[in-house]
Amino acid sequence: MNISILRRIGVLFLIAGIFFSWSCSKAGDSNVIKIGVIGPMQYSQGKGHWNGAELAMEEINSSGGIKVGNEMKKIELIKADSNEIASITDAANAMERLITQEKVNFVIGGFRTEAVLAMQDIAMDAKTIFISVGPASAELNKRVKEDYDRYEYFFRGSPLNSSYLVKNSFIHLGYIAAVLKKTLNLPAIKVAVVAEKVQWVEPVIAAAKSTIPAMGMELAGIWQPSQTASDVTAELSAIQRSGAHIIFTVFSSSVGVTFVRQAGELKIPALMTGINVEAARFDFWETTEGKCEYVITSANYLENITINETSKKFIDAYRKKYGEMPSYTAFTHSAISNLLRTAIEKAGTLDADALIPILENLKVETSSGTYKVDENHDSIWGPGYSIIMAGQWQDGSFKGIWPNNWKASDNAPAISYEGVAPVKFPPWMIEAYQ
Amino acid sequence: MQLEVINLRVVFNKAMILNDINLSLNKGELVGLVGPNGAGKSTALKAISGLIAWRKKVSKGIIGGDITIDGLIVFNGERIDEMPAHKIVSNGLVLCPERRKPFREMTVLDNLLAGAFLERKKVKIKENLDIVYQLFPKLKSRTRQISGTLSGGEQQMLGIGRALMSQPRLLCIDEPSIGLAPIVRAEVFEKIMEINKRGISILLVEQEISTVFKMTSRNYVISSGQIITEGTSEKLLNDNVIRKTYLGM
Amino acid sequence: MVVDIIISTLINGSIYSILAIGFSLVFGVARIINIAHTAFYMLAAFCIYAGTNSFGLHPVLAMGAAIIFVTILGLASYKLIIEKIRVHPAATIIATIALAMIFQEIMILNFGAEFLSVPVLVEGFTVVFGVKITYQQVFTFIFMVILLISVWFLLMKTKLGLAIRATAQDRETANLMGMNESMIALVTIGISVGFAGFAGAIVIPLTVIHPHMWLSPLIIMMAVVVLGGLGSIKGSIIGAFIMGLTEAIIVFLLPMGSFLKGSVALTILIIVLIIKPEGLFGVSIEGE
Repeated sequence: MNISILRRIGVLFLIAGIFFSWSCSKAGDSNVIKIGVIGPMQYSQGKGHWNGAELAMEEINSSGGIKVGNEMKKIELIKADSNEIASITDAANAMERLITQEKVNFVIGGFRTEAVLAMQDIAMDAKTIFISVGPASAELNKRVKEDYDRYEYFFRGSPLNSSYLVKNSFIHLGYIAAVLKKTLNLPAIKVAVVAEKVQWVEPVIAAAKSTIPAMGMELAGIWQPSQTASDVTAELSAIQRSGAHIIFTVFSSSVGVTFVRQAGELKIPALMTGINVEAARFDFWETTEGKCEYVITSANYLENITINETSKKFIDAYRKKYGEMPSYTAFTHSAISNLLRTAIEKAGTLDADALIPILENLKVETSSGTYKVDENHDSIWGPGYSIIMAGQWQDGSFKGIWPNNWKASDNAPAISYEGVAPVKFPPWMIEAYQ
Repeated sequence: MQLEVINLRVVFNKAMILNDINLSLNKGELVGLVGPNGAGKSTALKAISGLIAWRKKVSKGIIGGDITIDGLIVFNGERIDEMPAHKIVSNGLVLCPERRKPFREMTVLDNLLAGAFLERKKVKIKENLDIVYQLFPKLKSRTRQISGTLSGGEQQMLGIGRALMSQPRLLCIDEPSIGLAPIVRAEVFEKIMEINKRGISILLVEQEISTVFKMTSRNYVISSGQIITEGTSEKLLNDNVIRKTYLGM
Repeated sequence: MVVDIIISTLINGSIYSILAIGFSLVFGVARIINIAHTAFYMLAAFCIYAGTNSFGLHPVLAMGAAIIFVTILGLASYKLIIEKIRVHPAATIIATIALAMIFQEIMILNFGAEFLSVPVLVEGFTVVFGVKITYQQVFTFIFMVILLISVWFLLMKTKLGLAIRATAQDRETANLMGMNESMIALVTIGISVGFAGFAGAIVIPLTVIHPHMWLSPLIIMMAVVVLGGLGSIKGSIIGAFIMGLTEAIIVFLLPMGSFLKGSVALTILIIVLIIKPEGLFGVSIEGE
């Protein structure tokens, strides 16, 4: 029922049309670097993929292109709508087309793990370098670990894999709990975990069960509404009854909007933090009719925070061109202009086998921080590399609140990103606990 | 002539159910339509009241129902064979269907009011309701009862009562005695006679021939979809061949 | 806790019953299994979004316009497509699925596959027996109760209602009462789609609008209808509240399993189909 037959037919026609128009005009043009951008193009994630890549292409091509050996080659982008949110088959077909019809040199993008696993296999069959920008599952790199010879063409671009994402969210939780404890003078903090029911969430729940008590907090309960739930007021009543001070959310779909909206409407006296993919979007204020005030979530790009020069330049250019903040899938920009460009210029060739060792040893500044991969081609998390920030909705804008004086270990130097804002608490929460 | 049926033919999935039926009925008459099981009696009534045409329209594909219907039906000087069933009722030809078919989840009163669907005047409905209650006092004491819980005899009375609410000039009754105890049957037949005496013509399909023949002025004998013969009860009973072959007496 | 469960049951049960009654009525009267039923609910939500955002209508006005528009669209779809193939039940089901998909795709083309929202009528919440309820939910409940009472009045106290009930129980015999079955089917579809639009209009301010939002209520609604018995109004209402109650109990007693709400609907659907396919109060269609 979830798979739209009509859309499939539509996509088939579209693909056929694009294929004919492009295969007629561009066939045999070896003077360009062809990069396939794959993603759910009808959704915001896909738009992020495309916009990021498009910006990178314009910047590179206007400066003459990428130096490959003695030649300057321009970039050509091929857009592939994977429709992966609705259909994994569509996603596989889109990847197949990029590789067999378009004969792209590289593929970047992807979003939904189940679909990216399928895409990954197709790219590996063709020995084409595939840099994922979108999926968080660690499964993708587990394959590299288990069968390096087959999966060596795969690299994780962004975001960091879900176990880092979770680890980092618990660090956010710890930070917020500490501030909350101090500000409201609470003896102990109770945490309610609310996670949508999807596969990638299971390890997060297992981690929450052990980590939250280990952090000195009490687990008030775990709720798992469905991904598409349109009413969570019952869950919210139960959470309020549990006396939770913090709601640790793990959401990647529409329930993340519904939950925030209804919690805001009911003024539940608890602060939300954790992962809420929708909440990190810059139109979330409109989507929730302003009910997202005080909501905290993990974030990749934030207006008030400067990670490094690369990031600042990218965000400024992106906002200038598209009039909005980039979503995390716009890391396609860094995948092209930082990862691929640097590697190609070093290698002097587009040959995948020559590029792999270079990518494996690359350490480069990207819009999300310093990028380097481990032996499984998984991007490394930690101080000095990429970390995941936390943002809070404050007065209609999404402000970075973490890292703020964060010490990765007792002896480590404290890290604060430039421009970080203090955490705010809802007045009804302050009222409830005073 | 109030009703005239000419060369009525019904074919259902290539099986001839009615083969050129001709029958007629005068105003005020009580005419019997008798014959063995599966002879086509009920189909004839359904065809006359427009239900076969309706079924042809709606049930294509459901039972693989390939239905053809042919012939001329004239009621009160007007052709009704091409009229939809719900229009035929407004002309005064009303069918009380086989097994009475009450709306089982509805109360007795709602059933009767359903019969009065076409009547707009509340006074008139009230009047007709009184007539029905007078004829069937039992229904009056059960107006609020859900009709599915009535006894067989009561349901039959409700069926006839509901048909009367439609203010028939010709009432077709299909097998009123089926499944009823002998005493109840007698009562039902008595009521039918009474309705006829009020000037409503009746076309009665019935298995229980001995009783029917005492009531009717004329009868049609039908077998295998064909009218075999027609005549007064006396005449038919005196014909040994007819009596033995078709009436089983 | 008991109060929480009761309140949650009442609010959700009332929404489900409005959806289920509409679906059930159309099945009962016209023998159409309208898969597109909740697609009209989705369309109403988008209409309100378009009404408030693009045309700057007042939310209440946009709601009214959405319900009217959706009803007209429902009648048009019936007249232009469904009525012509209604005699083939399988084709009808497929056509309604196609219709729902078409609506979904048109919405994606027009609005993208993004999550959208419309403002609530009145912001804030009230506390009833210690349980927080948003005003929107209070409105939802009040409107649904008013609607349920109006449905009851329409069905039980008017001639049209009598005809709808009679036709739902026995289409053939209804003809014999002079009831124009196809006319009544049309009216019923209008009412049914109107209800779906109404449910969409009233529920949407607290949740998200997106083109796939018709799928999950469709499953819940089908489970309710099968549980209550296809074609039975009484069954739809009772089934809806049983479903609401089951969901509430799960959320409050089995928080880890609150996602099971959806599977509960499916489980109920399957169990009922196996044990008592006609549901609690289903109409018998063996005679047809």
